[in-house]
Order: sequence, then C-alpha cells, then structure tokens
Amino acid sequence: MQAVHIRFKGQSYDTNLEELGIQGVPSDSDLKDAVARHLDVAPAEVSELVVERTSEGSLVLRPQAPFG
Amino acid sequence: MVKVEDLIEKTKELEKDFLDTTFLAPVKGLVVVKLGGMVYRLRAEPEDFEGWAVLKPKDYATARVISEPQPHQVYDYLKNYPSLRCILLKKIRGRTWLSLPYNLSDAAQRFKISKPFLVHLVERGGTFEQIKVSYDGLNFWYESASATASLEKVEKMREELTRKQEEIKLKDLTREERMAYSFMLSAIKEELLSREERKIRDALKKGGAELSSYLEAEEEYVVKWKFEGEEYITTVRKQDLAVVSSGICLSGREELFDLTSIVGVMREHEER
Repeated sequence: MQAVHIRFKGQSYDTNLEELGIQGVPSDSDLKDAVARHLDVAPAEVSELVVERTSEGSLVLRPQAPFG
Repeated sequence: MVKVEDLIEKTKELEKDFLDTTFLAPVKGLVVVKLGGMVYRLRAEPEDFEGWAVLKPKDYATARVISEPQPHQVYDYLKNYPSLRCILLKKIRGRTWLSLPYNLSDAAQRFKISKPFLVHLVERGGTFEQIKVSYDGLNFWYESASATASLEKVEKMREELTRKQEEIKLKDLTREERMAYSFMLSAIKEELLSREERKIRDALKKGGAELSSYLEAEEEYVVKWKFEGEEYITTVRKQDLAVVSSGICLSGREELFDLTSIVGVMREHEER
C-alpha cells in the first residue's frame, strides 16, 4: 500500500493511494485531484503543491519552497 | 545393580500407563511431564491454550486439554513446591509478567534470583501489586494475590509513576519496592524514547531519508539526517515535527514544511 504524505497549510496528513481511491500509478494531476477531495478543499488550492516520489516508494506533496 | 534391560522394560510400562492417564499441568504452549525420572515435553492442543488444564496424552509428543481444573486442584498441585512473594512489574505477553522478589535476600538464597524474573499464568494483578508464586524447578507459576500488600501504597506508587517522579516521596517503601519503582520508571522512559525515535525515523523514511541521530531540547528536536550520502541538520517542533530551522533560507516560512517534506526541499536546494 503506497503511502502518501501531505503537507498543506502548515498541517501534516498521512494517507495512502487506496484511501485516496487511486489504483495504479497516478499522474501528478490525478493525485492532486484526489488529495483535494480527501482534504475537502478546492482543486485550485492544491494545484501548486510539489509532488515527490521517493526511492522508498512514498509520495510526498508539499508547498513550493520559498528559497530566499 | 539394576540391569539396563530391566530399566528399559520399566520405562516402557510407565510410558504405556501414561497414555491411559489424565494429568493436571500448567500449560503455556508446552507441557512438561516427568515420568520415571525422565522429562517429556509435550505440545498442548489446542495450541493457543494458556492456563491450568487437565490433559490426556495423545502420544509422547502431544497432549490434549480435556477440561479446566477446580481451584482446589491447582492449589493441591502448587503446594508441593516452594513459594515466593514478589512484586508485579509489567506484563510481557498473555498471562506472563515480569516480577521482582519482595525479599531479594531470601530469593537469592533459595532460588538464586537477584533480578526481575518471569511469572506465568498470572490470574489478576497490576504493576506494583504483590503476589505469591510457586517454583516447580523450571518455571514460576502464579499462586495467589498477596493478602499482606497495601493497595493504598500501590496506588500511590502508580500515581508517582504516571507523573514520572524521579524521587518517590512515599516514606514506608521497602528497598525492593523502590527498586521496582526505579525499574518501571526506566522502562517507561525507554519506551517513550523509542517511541519518539520511531516517530522521527518514520517521518524521515517517508521523505526518503535516514536518521543519523537526534538531540532533544525543551520543545524541539535537533535532527541529523542523511540523504544520498549528504548529511543535514534540521530543528523541528516536538509536537508535530514542523520545521523550526532548516539551515537554509526559506524566507521565514519554515513552518510550511515538516520533517518529511523538508527532505525534498533540501534536495531541491542542492540542485539549484
């Protein structure tokens, strides 16, 4: 079961693809749509999140880094 | 001098009779039976049975539980063995508890015990409660609750433990009760420590990184971690592992990230 970690608006959420209702390997866009539904927010609110696929097989969604 | 042939014949007879008998024994997976000086280890059926049982051998390797004995039968069994008073520490699994002798000098003299030991088939009890156990030469078995223990004292010790008080303030504690308290306090601290470490390790693992070490500050953890051979140090809030300081400039928006998501941020920073 592939783990999904979400960092959104200063909160952390842990879920997995099954809970998000996703089968197979999702595109970034499909993943964001599912995450928006999971968090009960508008898709536009998560559209800027960065999707990372780790070597451990997890998926991490996080805000863009505001490098100074 | 006894002939070997006679001994073999006698053992055969005993074994034959054994298959026709029923016997009482404490069961925790295996049942140990001594027959004519020889020790037999039998597997109990059902396999998950844990408790006192009346058993019937199926063969020399298996015995079937046919009923549970009356308390007085268990009492009659245990009274054949020496008894010891002890303090319950913590449950290990099922009905097996870790215990400390109530009188260490006596336990060292009679049973060569000077540290916590396992007691099986504990019927009732909780941390710091006193019980009596019997030793059959192989295992310690629960006999009864100790009537002499003060439940009020036990309650106070538990309260102090919940508050993780280093110095227990009860005046009338024995040396062994103080040892039991210290043991449990250390056990709880270790458990807490390993739970914290697991939380940090898991958070990093989800991000694809590996924990090197961590230090604990009042409200924060200073975490040293590795990713693709590089080592990083990140300070995070204890409560939710939100980033407090990452070692790079994030325009004062560190709290946007947690220990899992900072891994990707640091990688991105390296690639810039």
